[in-house]
Amino acid sequence: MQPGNWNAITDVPGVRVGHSTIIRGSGPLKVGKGPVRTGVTVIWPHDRIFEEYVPCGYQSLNGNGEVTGLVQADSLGILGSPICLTNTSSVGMVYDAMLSRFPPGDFPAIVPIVGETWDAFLNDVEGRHVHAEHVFEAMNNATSGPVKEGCVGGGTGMMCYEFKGGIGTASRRLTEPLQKYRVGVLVQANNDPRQVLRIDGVPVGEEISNLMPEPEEASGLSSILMMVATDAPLLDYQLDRLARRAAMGLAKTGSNSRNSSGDFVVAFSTSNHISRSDFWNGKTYSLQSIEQFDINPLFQAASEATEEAIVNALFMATDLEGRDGHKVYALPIDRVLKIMERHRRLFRPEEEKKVARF
Amino acid sequence: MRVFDLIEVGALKAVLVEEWNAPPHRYFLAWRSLGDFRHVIGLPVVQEFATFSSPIFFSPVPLLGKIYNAGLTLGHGRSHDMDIDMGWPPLCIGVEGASPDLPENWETKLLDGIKSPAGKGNAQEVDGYLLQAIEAGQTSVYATNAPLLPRQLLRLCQISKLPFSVAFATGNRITRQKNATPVQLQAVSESQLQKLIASYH
Repeated sequence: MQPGNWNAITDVPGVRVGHSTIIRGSGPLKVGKGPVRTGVTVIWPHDRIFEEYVPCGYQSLNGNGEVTGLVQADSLGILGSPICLTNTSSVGMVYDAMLSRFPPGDFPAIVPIVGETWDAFLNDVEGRHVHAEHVFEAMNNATSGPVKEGCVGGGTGMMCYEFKGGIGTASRRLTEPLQKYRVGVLVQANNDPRQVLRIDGVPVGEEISNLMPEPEEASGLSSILMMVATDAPLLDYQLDRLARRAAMGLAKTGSNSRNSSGDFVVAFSTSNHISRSDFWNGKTYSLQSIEQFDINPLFQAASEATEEAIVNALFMATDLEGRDGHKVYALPIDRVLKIMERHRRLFRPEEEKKVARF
Repeated sequence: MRVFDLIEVGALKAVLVEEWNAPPHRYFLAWRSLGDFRHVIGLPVVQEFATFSSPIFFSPVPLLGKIYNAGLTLGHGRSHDMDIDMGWPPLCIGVEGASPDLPENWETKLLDGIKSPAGKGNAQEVDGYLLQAIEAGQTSVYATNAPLLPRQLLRLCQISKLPFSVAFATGNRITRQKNATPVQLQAVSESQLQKLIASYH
């Protein structure tokens, strides 16, 4: 499948992404002072999400983490706010900030979705440096078009396969019969040990045993958040199904979703806008849904885009030094390309033609 | 006025929404279990697609496999080339403690009942929607012609205190579409749902 224009979650029309990145200080950890390597990323499903809800589903692969609003996704099957991604200890503050942006008098209130991963290796996570102003900054600077990846927003202090990780995104245009729709994925990647990393099936993690985080006794806590958007009309239970396929994309990068992980997928469809008043107080409202027999291109797209979003997080991140001089190295791209070539995963144009003939 | 017919042959029961083998279609359905209740066949498909397309059978627990097999045989005119919508397994729910002795020719009687339901079952009307409920062994069945979505049906299931419950809605009749055309659906609002759920109590 081919990527969309930006190869980003923003290829789904209406979806906007904004980051607030907080990088401040260096040297020894002083809780409450820093060093700070964190932030928040906000995904708007569409501009009027507070007024017009969209169907939402999810999958918890391993639940050692927090994503608020999943009980609401279970009972109501809707998303009624932007999605926020941040660090573990900042969930409450971000949740509180998001609530303050809800329409006045909005009751019963929708629960915002705020997800987290643990950036304590680089960041003064217990200093809780993400505040309402950062949430509002990320909300306000959210745009469509290209999405910044790597050490930005909620992904600023994250590690992925013990390289520098963070935010990654990718998208796919669907194939027939759903060719007019797209799937986009954005991940906050902070997951898994080095040795299991695979890129396009190649055991890259086994081949790069150096460039480990310094010092090597890195925290074993690791997680990944995967946000899936589509403009294909899907209902909540179908979005649960889509979320499960995103997990397969994670598996293709080598992850086994470890015991200590909080690995969650949240999936939403922007096609059905349900007005707040109809949802709560009307008699009925209308929806559309792709039939199950036509759904396979969506599954493939969710899996492919998730896999690539994780790889993109690795490719776009840069070396980062954090608290107590802890250092995490970026994926050495030149070495990876050589490894891929040796495993015959990279083709020069003339070789591509040869392969195509078969 | 009813949402479904109830067919009874000895200890066997079948909940029938409409003529079986009608053109391929499905309705939304949800289920939930409590405690150690486990005597159900045909659930994975319901779980994956949140829909069903056959009668719902109730049988003594020891006969569950036989009834499932009979359900496949009687209902769907199965063939190697059948449409996948016609091949969905029936949902068969066990009744603990029911006598496994069935009347002679029970399969014929069951099929006759499905072909010509006697019209047993009553529904109440609330806000223009029909609501119908029965208890079969350890299972509650809730049905409505209101357009409830799967998660809304799950919340209906949750009002039951019995070990197993199913809820289905006929307000959205889902048929296979051509050219990936989306299915047009309706859903009730939260306030309407609360009213319907309260009416079952």
